[in-house]
Amino acid sequence: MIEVKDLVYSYIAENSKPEEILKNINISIQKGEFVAVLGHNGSGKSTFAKHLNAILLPMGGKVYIDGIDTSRQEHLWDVRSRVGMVFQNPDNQIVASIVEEDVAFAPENLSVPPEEIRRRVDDALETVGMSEYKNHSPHMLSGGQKQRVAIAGIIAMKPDIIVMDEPTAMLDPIGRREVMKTIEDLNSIYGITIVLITHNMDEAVKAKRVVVIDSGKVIIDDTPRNVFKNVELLRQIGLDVPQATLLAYELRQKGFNIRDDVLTVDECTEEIYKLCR
Amino acid sequence: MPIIVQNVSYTYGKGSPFEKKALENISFTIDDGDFVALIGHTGSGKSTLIQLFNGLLKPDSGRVIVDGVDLCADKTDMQKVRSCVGIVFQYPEYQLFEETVYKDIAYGPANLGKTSEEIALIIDEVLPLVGLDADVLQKSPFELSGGQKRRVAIAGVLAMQPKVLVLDEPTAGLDPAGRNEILSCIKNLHDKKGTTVILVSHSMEDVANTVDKILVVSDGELLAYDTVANVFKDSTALKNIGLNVPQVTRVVNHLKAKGIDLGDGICTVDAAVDAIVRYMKEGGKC
Amino acid sequence: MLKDITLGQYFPLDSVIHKIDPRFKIMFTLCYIVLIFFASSPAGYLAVGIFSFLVIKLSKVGFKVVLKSLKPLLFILCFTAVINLFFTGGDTILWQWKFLKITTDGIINAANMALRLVFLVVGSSILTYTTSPILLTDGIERLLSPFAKLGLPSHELAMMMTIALRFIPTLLEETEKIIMAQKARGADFESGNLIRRAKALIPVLVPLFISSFRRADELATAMECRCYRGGKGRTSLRQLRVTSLDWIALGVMLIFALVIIFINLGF
Repeated sequence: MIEVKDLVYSYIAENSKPEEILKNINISIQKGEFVAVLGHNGSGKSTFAKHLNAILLPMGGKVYIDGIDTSRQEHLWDVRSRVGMVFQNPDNQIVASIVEEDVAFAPENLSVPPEEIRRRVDDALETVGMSEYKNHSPHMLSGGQKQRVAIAGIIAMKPDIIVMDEPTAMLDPIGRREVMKTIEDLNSIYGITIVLITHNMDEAVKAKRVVVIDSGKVIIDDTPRNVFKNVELLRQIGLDVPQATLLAYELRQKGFNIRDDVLTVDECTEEIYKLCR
Repeated sequence: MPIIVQNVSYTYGKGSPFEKKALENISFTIDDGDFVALIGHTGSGKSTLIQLFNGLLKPDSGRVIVDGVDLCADKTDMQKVRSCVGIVFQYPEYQLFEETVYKDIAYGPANLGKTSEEIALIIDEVLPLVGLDADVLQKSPFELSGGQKRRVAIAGVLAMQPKVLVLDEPTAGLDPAGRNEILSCIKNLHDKKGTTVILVSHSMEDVANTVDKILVVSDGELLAYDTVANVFKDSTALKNIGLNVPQVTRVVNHLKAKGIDLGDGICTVDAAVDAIVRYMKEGGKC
Repeated sequence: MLKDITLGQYFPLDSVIHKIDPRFKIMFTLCYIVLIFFASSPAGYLAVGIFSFLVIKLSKVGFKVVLKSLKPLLFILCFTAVINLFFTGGDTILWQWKFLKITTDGIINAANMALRLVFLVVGSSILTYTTSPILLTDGIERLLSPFAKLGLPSHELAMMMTIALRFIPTLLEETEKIIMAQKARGADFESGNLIRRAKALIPVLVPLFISSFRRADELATAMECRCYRGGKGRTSLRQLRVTSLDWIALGVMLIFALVIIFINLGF
């Protein structure tokens, strides 16, 4: 469970005023949730993510992971092994030049006995569907496959929570689909709490809850359906809505009687069908 | 100055065990002032194709003719070709290297032998095209934001005053606002300066919103080269090669399957809204 | 072009040579290199040749690949051979032109050096071809670990090697991309004198350095996220266990060493 209380963080550059990046953020995320954190570049969403596993420490307020205060140095590794983190560029998170060796990296650091590491590595690769590549060299894999290896490397740590910081931003559509499928499975089948940082609306739709951050503040925290209703607000803060939602919105603007919480192609089709029939 | 691609084939690592066919007997012509999207999934031959446009790669067989100049001929002046066809590669901000934005933008034209007076004029001209203010010129490119860096990199290519601009996923990694800004810059460039633009993109929504024609490549072959409406008409053909059609087009197609025909070639939200409004009026069903 | 270099590459195959414990293999390779310098007679080279041939055969890597590893060294090879050929003193002069002369000693010396170099490269190539970089670093780490007490950072060295191996292909690919992009901006890497050419590389090197630092920074964060805190208390997926195969290999190696020594002593 994640508990963020009055989190404040400023970036202090040389010879200039400190810049407030996070202003008083309060969020609590329960075990097993799938939360998307949405915001444009520079909204503070990545800075927020880095607080969840003590890569950054709060300048004001507290972050608790399963009740543990992340700023307590003695619990640092405990926090980091509970909260896994996946980053944007898969190339820059893979340490070893053989897939399975890389997946073993975290358990090795945690002094897990060798037989147990073997089991975890095999399980993790199985979970992300990369078992057949276990002896491959990462640079021969596609972007989506590399990112799945990076995810396996985190799963092998057996975290309760995985924070994904724009994991699909550098991938092509096929890679995106693979990685999104993996993320959804991790949540629905394996019960891992997912915090997905993104600016991609079609991905945020897949979450159960969407938190919108703008200039360091949480401005909306609701189900995807209720969040994407706010077409104008989202556009104002440099975000988008899925095209299906936009079409329904435009039709509403024209005075058609259409639901305001359309999210998917199917729902949109259904609504227009009802209208035209 | 059209780009003519004639029966072009290209193979990587010819003769080695890693031999890989990238392009197979491709032919098409891109006319002056066209706004074309190049789509296809990773490994389809897109990247190879764009490198042929300015002679960075030479085809194994076939010819590439830009502005009447055969790029495959031995005596071709490559410098001149490269000033004709500018390529903005993926994540172009990673090629910035100079101390100041000004110097970085000047790198291309300086290589083409332009004098510093000419360069100053060129920079004055390209800066507004990419939506940058003059006060960034003396800054280091590395202290700018991600979106700004990218625009500096694009300006660096525009400064070579190309008549054809090729952009490889210029919006990759940007957020929606950044993406819209870059796309409108490109659109502006095409509309105002008449530059021929070839845009490589994975986002069918962006493609539908910006370009006129689409080139579809798959497994090194040219599958289609047609207007946006015609290419997106055949959603199953695109699906078979791992591509999609814009979400609105999917909505329109589903409606058609249910018996509501809004017409063909609807690829943008605006077009769909218009079509629905028209359908309701004509059908008189409400 | 950059990808053609096979030296130092690993071929994941299933052979007895692949299965030998990396610690043994590293020691064997060192031993082999020492022996090359012992075997200075035709009979000695023949023995080394036969031994190398058998090892390559057993490794299943293929002779073509091994020969290819010599390609980048062709220049050094010829250079050493030529230097030795012309500049070795000796009594039996076969041919002379001004200060250049070929003597029998010269021929022998040139052949000696060339053969040694070839065997040296072949031997070390076989090590890298049949040992995954990970196992290799593991092996080096374990072999060096006794020296850790003397302050030798064996884990850190091994970690650095692992990361270097991991990022070499990535950075090569990136270099090619940057070269391509700067060429598209009219850069000319092929003409002009040495200074001009060196200067032309700045637009490639600066972005490459910047990107390497960015990667290093991101990698460091990612490693911290995966609870990396130095070598202390680390376990390892791969347990190196000495098997009977290793002892057999050691036996073979000893026999080979004895053969070379016997030949050298003039039996």
